[in-house]
Amino acid sequence: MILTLIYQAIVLLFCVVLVWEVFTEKKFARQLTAVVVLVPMLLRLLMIK
Amino acid sequence: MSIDRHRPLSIGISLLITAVLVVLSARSFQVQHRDEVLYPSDGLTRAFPLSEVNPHLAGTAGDTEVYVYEGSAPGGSVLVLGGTHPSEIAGYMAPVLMIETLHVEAGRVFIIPRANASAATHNEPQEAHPQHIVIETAGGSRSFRFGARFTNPVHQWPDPEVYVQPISGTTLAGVEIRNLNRAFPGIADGNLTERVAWAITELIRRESIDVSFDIHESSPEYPVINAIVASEVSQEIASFATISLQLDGWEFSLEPSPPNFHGLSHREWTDHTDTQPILLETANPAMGRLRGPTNAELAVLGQDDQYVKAAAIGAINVPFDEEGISIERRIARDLVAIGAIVEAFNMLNPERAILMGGWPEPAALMEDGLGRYLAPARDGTSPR
Repeated sequence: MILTLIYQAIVLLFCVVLVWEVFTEKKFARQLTAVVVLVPMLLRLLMIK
Repeated sequence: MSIDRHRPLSIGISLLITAVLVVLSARSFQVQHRDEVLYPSDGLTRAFPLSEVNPHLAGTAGDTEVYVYEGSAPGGSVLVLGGTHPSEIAGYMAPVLMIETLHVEAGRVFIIPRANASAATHNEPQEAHPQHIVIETAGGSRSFRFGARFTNPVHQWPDPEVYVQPISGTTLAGVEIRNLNRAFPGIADGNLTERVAWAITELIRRESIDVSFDIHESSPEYPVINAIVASEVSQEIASFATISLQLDGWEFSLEPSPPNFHGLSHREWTDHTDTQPILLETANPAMGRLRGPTNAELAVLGQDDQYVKAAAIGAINVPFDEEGISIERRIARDLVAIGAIVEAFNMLNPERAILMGGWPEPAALMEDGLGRYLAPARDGTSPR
């Protein structure tokens, strides 16, 4: 259980960094790249997949 | 770094795409967490969750339904286990067909169609397996999940580098810690897979089950195929049944349960219970390494040009032609084998005879199709 919480905290950190990347990246293509990485991270954070 | 205030449109579009992709993919994955509705025959006398046997399963994704059919006359008892590996779809559908058609005159029949319920909630990465198969019935289409070999890692993680089987000390690849058929006899308060394994083993002990079946499928190139696997305590009934089946034109090989390969259902039920264990294997091209395009049609019809070519050069262990090996044929093999083995048990133990039936004859099943014998969907089509 503690391991799962630590794992989710790490994934949450990645999600925050990726969302930050979407807001700060100037090129739309790079924003989309962050989105592609963000989707599986969110699914993991929510323990769906 | 600072937020560029001149690009709100592209940020908005990116976040909208994220939300849409997450919602669509989450919905797709979560549908597989819903159990299909089964419609037991009126021969069902009771059903209970496996957590009644092992309370450590209560509220977990490993809890699963046990269906019990009791005859009016006393007799022996049988356990039929399906979905030990939910990717072996006929191994799930054969018990489902039993649940929806079975009548027992003497003795008791226990059926667990989704032995590893957690493994039914996802499918194997990189296998391109379908999430569901669809069977047309008189009342509309019914869909059944095509699951995975292993417990869902959302429910049990992390895997170790090496799995040391707790009872025997046998070492296996780490992922095997989520394989129900490596977890027997199980541990009551172990990991999720071990809890399920313990509950099934304990059910066999508690109910003094005479004959226990574990139904599987494997690739046509696998050496133990179209087989009845029996241990030293079930060799006698399995031998009688194999001869009887071969006389009726059914090709089955009789394989021994390896005495030193621990964690397998037939091995551990032999060593830890008084039951006579049997494992059945049919050939499913959807599981093979040589297969072509992988989809629900392949899992149901069992037709694959690559396997026709492989059979022509002798690269597989079962006959395979353009007709393929349909799910009806695979289920028919399982049911005819169960019938023959129970008949052999009855012959050797007439005081504990188990009289059961109700499922279709093999020829009728293969001719009419599975949907003809499954109960019609009563609440519209199953979720997909």
